[in-house]
Amino acid sequence: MKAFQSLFRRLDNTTKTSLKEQALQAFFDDADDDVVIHGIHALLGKRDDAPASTSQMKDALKQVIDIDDWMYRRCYEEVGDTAETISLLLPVGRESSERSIVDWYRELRRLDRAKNYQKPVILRGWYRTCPPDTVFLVNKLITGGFRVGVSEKTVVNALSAYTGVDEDVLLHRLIGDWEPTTTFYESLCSEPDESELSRKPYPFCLCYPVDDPEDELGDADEYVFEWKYDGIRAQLLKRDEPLLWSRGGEPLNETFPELIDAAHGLEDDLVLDGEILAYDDEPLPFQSLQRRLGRRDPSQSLRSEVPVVFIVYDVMERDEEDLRRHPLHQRRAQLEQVDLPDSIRRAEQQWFSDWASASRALDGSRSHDVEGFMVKHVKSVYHSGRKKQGWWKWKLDPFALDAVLMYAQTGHGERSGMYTDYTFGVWGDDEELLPIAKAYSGLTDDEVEELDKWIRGNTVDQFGPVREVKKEQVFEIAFQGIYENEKKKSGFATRFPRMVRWRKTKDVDEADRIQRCQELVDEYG
Amino acid sequence: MPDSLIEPTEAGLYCEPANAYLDPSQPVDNAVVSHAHADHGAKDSERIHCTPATQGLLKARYGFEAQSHSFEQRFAINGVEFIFHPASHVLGSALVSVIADDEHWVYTGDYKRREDPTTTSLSIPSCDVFITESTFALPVYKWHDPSQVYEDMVDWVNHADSSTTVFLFAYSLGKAQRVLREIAEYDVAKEITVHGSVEEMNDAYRSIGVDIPDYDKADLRTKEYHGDVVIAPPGVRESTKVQRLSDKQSALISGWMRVRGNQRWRSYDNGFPVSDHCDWEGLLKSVEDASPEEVKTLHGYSEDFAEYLRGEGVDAESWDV
Repeated sequence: MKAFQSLFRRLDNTTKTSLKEQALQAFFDDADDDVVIHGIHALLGKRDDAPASTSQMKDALKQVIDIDDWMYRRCYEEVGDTAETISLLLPVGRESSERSIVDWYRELRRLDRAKNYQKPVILRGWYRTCPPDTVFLVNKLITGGFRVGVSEKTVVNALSAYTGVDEDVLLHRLIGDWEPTTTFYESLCSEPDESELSRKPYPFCLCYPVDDPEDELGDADEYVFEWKYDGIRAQLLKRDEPLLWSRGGEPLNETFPELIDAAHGLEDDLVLDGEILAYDDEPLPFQSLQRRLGRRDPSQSLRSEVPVVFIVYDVMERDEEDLRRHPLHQRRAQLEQVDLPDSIRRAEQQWFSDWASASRALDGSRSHDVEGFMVKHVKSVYHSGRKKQGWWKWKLDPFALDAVLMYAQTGHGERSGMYTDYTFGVWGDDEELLPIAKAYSGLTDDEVEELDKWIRGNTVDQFGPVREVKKEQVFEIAFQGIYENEKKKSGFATRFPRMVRWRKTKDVDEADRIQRCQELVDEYG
Repeated sequence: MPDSLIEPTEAGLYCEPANAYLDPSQPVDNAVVSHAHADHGAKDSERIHCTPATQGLLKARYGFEAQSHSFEQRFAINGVEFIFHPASHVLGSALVSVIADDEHWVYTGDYKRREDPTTTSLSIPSCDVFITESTFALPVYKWHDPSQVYEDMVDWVNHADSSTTVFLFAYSLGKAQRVLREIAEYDVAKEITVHGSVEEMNDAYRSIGVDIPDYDKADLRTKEYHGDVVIAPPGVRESTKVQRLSDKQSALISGWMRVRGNQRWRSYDNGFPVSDHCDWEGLLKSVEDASPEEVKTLHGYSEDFAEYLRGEGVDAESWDV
């Protein structure tokens, strides 16, 4: 495990992508081919057999060290990850493991084949004899979802730099299940042929932000307006098979199989640009879509809970013709001729004769679950990257309220140990605070640390992981929308709340009142 | 004899017969200060009692005076006897014995068991009631031998490009001096420099007679500045001077870095778990050393620690201050 473990350490000990890529290239260069391809397999999270359950792992641990269930649970809450919790509970500082990652894959197959009652025995042996750092990595291989410290994109970029094979070709070859064999590694690194190259997405055309379009863009009637949805940008290529690519260059075929099924009926040699959106009669919040991201082969129940659509903005290729230099209105005319299934639909276009009416429509859109408008010149070409021409994004100003900190809870995983999840309230009619938003983000690290300390020193009550604090701190909370919700004590719920600033000088009496929420709903709801 | 010689109150731990507070959070008549960290400030109290080294640090840091008492030297406040014992947390840090009517209580303040060239070794007296900090009282918090951590740290620093500025963030009082002393033994490929607030504390340590090697002050304002190691307090990370540097790597030196998530969510590149507190096993050994009839736990995972001790048959309770 030495080569892979030291790779892991180097990946984990920097947040800089260039250093991660350096470390990966050194690994490709130094390690044996079978170690390299197993390393890639592990880093891309391709292991999904789960040869033992987390409760079997816990049972094995309890045969090695003396720990009560409640204390294990508390440790797990602190660490937020079973693999790491177990490795941290083992005694520190022992000899390093001589087994390579290839050996460990073999061991894990043995574990997979073992009877359930044998599994804790096998695990126990490893926990007794292996150094904790190795136990951590082996546990991660067992629990799957290995993605630690490095994205698919980074691995592929480094491999591309190392082999000279194009990144998109590599990504395509890495789709789906494959066995980490040296034969696979050879074919992975081989020169691509023509048909492989045509599977690559075009560089995406991105929008440049605009604050005051009247000032910056000229006449409104030269532009087409499309809702800027809160989904994920993607390109759909229909060659003989459909291929769905994210803007980050990630293949999405296995994440959204229903879109691929639907795309089978499309005409051949077609390239579409659009947005994948969670959609059930109307757009669902991004949190819903998030449940679908990073999951291959979603279950039927998840697919029906979070249905998705692909909203098409543009067509870059049709009938083997590259349309990217054609003006937008001509591309749209081509798009209108394409026969689309239900879940792949053309984006709605709007026109305005002046910016004032566009602005009114933008304000009115707060209830539509959109982020704002994409504003595109009718003659714009499909350029690559983000340029100050043709395509613009015009975003809604977020709503804001001054609210009082009421409760705090410790974070899990990435933010374990500190009070980082906060509940905020505004004043109700009986001079009591009513919770209006839960927020985790927006403060600087120093502020989080300071607030954590304040929370610990100013707790008035504690229930489980939640602390009720003295009602003394006011924060400005921004959010994307607000709506009435009978289930909430305050009667309102906010969308995407985040902290904008800690208003230390503000008195709690100056925080907003519940009537302000009603006003916002009346105005925009 | 009072019901309870020491009680938790809003202003801190209160010893009624002495009318004295241990590490009060606000000005009081008699403050007994365990060590010179900001969170134990008792500024504007009528009288402050502490060790000579703590007095020196308080004066250098906040400019206030105090009554000093050497380690193991008895003194009395309103007839109640107090003794400071070395706590080995930072220079001058003390465990406080409070003795009245044959009852012996010990308040630990912050402390560690590991040897540290910048402080006096820990000495725990046996007592009746042991009031111990429990900052890291979960069994996942176990410290490696610091020499292993320093090896990793130096290896990481030496792997950085020659143009990369490497920030090692550590508290300016205590942790920074300990690290400077301890890494002096290693071959660091980069020049080591210190932030101004660290240098100030280095000077304070030197004036108290603790040897801290000389280092250049990091001058982050000059354009040519790059490629050194900078030892700086964590707050400096948010300064524009540091934010502006693009070619940098940063790590925090703290016990919290034992857990990966703590490092990752604060988005440090790396973290090195060197702590001036006891780890889980250290806390357990300390309770054993004190062999008290009762344990009170303070700070951090105080409730979990008390619960665990009760499971082991120790009369323990968590105090909230």
